[in-house]
Amino acid sequence: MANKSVVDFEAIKKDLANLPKPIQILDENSKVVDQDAFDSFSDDDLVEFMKKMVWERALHEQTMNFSRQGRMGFYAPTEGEEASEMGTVLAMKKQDYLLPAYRDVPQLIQHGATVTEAYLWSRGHVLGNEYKANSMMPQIIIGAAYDEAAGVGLGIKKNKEEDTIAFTYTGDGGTSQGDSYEGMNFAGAYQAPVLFIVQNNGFAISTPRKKQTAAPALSQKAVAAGIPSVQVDGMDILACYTVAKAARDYITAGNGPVMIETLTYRYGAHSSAGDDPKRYRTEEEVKPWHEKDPLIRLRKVLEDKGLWSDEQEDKLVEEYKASFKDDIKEADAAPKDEVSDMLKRTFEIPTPEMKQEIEKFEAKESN
Amino acid sequence: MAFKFKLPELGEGMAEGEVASWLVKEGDQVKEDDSLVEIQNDKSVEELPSPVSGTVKQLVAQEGDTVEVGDTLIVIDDGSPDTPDDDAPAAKDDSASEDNKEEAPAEDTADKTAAPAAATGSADKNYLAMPSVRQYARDKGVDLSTVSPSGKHGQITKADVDGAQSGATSAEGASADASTAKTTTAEPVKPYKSETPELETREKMSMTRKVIAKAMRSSKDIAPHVTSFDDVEVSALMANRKKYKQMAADQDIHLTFLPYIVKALVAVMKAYPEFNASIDNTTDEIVYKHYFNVGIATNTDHGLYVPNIKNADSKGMFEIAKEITENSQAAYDNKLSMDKMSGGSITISNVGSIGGGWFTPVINQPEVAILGVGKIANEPYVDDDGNIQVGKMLKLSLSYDHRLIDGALAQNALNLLNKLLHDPDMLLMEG
Repeated sequence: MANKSVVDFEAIKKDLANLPKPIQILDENSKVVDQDAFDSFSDDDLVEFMKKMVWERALHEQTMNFSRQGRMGFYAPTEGEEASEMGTVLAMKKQDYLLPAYRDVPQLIQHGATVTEAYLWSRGHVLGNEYKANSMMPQIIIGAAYDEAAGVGLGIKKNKEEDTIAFTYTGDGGTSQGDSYEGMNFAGAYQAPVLFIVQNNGFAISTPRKKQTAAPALSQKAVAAGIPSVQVDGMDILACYTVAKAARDYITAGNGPVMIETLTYRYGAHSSAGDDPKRYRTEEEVKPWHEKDPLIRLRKVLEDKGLWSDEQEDKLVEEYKASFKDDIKEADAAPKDEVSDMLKRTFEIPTPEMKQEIEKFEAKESN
Repeated sequence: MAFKFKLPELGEGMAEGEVASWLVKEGDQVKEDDSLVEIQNDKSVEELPSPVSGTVKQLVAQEGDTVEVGDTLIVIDDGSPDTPDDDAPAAKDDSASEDNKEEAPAEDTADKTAAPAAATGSADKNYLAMPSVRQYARDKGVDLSTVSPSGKHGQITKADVDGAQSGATSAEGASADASTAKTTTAEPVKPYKSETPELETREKMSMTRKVIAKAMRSSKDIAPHVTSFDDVEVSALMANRKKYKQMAADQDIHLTFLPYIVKALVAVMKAYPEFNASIDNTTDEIVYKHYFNVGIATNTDHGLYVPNIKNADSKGMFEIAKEITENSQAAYDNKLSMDKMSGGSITISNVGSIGGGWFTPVINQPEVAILGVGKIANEPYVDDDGNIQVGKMLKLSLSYDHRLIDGALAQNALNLLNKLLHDPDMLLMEG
C-alpha cells in the first residue's frame, strides 16, 4: 500500500471555491466600479433602464393586488429581480426566441407579448398561450425550458437563422433538476446558439440556495457541459445588460452556448399559490438585499445626474398601473375558452380521434 | 347597487380563511387597491386590496369568523348600476344541480346494484382536505373516509372532523369493510391498442353504460356464479293465460307469462329463504329478507333497468301484470324512481320475448340469484305416461351465488319452480 498521496482532494475542493468576483458595474452604493463599461451607456440609455425597472415593479405590485382581489390565476412575484430580468431581456433582439419559466412574465411582455395575454396565461386561457412575439408560454415545469431552449437553438442552427439565439431562464432551484443539465449538455454537444440564464434568487420555494447543492457557484453547473459561464451581480442592471449582450455577441459569432448566473433576490413569496416566506427566512436575512435594491442603485446615479425625480417616477407608476387595469379589463372581456380551442392547439395536424373530438365539441359549443 | 367582495382563493386548494382584522369600517371611503382586510389562511396572513372605489356599506364577515372561498366579505357601494356578478353564480349553481338531477336516476340505480363494489371504491377514494385538517384528523384519530365533507368542492373542514369524531366506532367498521373488499379488487385496466385505428371509431360510454359495466364487472368479481339449466313443459300455463287474457284486457291489463313466473319465484323463495337473501361482507352475515320484491330486468334504448314488484306475495296476478307494464313504461320514459329499483329480492331476466333459450345471467347485486327466461318453443316432450308429445318447452337458467347457495339447494329450488310452472293450479296452493 502506497502511503504517499498522489491526489489531494481537499485542495481540489478548495480550488472549486476559488471563484472570480461576480461582474459588477455599479456597486451597492451606486459607485461606478467599471468606468469604461459605464461610459458605454448614454444618459437616455440609463433613463430607459430605470423606466423598465419601474415598469416591472409596478407590474408586480398591481398584479399582486389583482391576485389578492381574486382576479388572477397563478402568478410568481418578481419584486427584487428587476435588474436581472430587464437587464438580460433588453440585451436580446426581437428575432431571438424566448423560453420563459413562470417567473419570467415581465421578460415575456418586454419581448413582445401583451400584458393582457400574460394575464390570460395566468388564468389558463387558451389565448394566453399565443403571442406575436417569438416566445413560448411560460414553462411551469421547473427546468424544462432549458431542454426546449436546446431544441430551439438546434433548430436555429439547422435553419441557419442569422443573428438569432434562443434564450431561457430558470431559478437556482431549477439547476438542481436533471432537465437543466440535459438541456445545457445537449446545447453544448451540438454547439447550439443558446443563452442559459440562472436567476439565483436564493430560494427554491423555501429551500435556501446553500442546501440545494454543494457547488460553490451555480455558474459551475455549466462547466461539466463544456459551456462558458459567469456570475453577475443580479441587482445591477448595467452589469446584467452588459454581460447578456456580450454573451449574445459570443453566441451569434458561432461559438455555442453560454450560461449566466445572476445573483439576485426575491423579496416576496415564491408564488401567489400561497407560501409565507416568514416561515423559512428571517427579516434580518432579507434586509441587506433591500439595501442592494436595483431601483435604488440606478435611481441614485440618475438623480446625481439630474435625470430623474420622485415626481417623475410617481407619475410613471400611476400611468403604468392605470394601463394594467385596462389590460385586466381586456382580459375579462376575452371570449370564453372552449374545449375545441384547446384541442385544436394540441397538435399541428390533429389525429383522427382528435378530429372527431373537435367536431363533437364544436357542435356542442355552437348550440 | 353595490359591489360584493368575495373571499378569493389565496392559495392552492384554499377552502376557507379567517378574518384576522378589518382595516376599514362601515361608512369609510375606500379607493381601488386600498387594503380592506387581513385574512389568515392555512399558510399565511394576506392583506386583501379593494377591487373597487366607493363607500363601505356593510362588513358581512366579522373578525374571527371563518369564511369560505366565494363567500361575501364586505359590501362596497361603488355606484355601480347592477350586481351581475352576484346573481350569476347563484343561477349557475341551480342549473348545475338540475344537471345532476337528470343524471341521478341512472347513476343511483347502478350504485345500488353495485353496492358491494361501491365499498371497494371508497377505500381508494381521494379525500379533499387541507394538510392542516389531515393532521388535525390524525391527531384526533379520525379516519377521513368516515367524514362527510361540508366545504367547497367537497372539502373536509376541521368542523367536519369534529362532527365525525363521535361516530369513530362506526369508522372502524367502515375501514374493515374497505380492507375486506380490497381483496376482491380486479386486475388493473389495460388500454385497448389497435393496429388499424383508421378502421375503427371510438365513442365515449354513456353514464348509464358505464354504470352497467361497473355493476356487471363487480357482480362477477364478488359472487362466484353457477348457472343451472332446466326446461319445463308449460301447455297448462299457456292455457291458463289464454283463458284469462281477455278478462285482463277488459281491465286494460296485458297478461303475459311474467306474472306467473313472479308468483312462482315467490313460492320458491318462501320454500328456500336462501334465495331471498344478501351477504354482508363486512360481518360475514347472511341477511334474510322478509319481503318479496321481484325485479324484472327492463331493456330500453337508453340502458338496462331493474324495477321490482314490491311485496309480490300480497298481490294478485292481474295486479302484478299491471305493475310490470307500468314499470317498464316508466323505464322507457326514464321516470323510474330510486325506490322502484332498490330493495330487490331476486331478479327475472326475460329474453324470451325476443327468442333464445338458455343463457347465463349475471346476478343483480346485492341479490344472490337471477332467473333467465327464454322463449317457449314446440319441442318433443315425454309426458308422465311415457308418451312422446309435442310440448311447449320453456327454457330456464338459474344463476346463483355459490357463496350462499349450493348446487343441490339450487336444483331443489329449480325443481319446485318447474312444478309450479308446469301446473299453474299449484300456484294457488303454494303461492
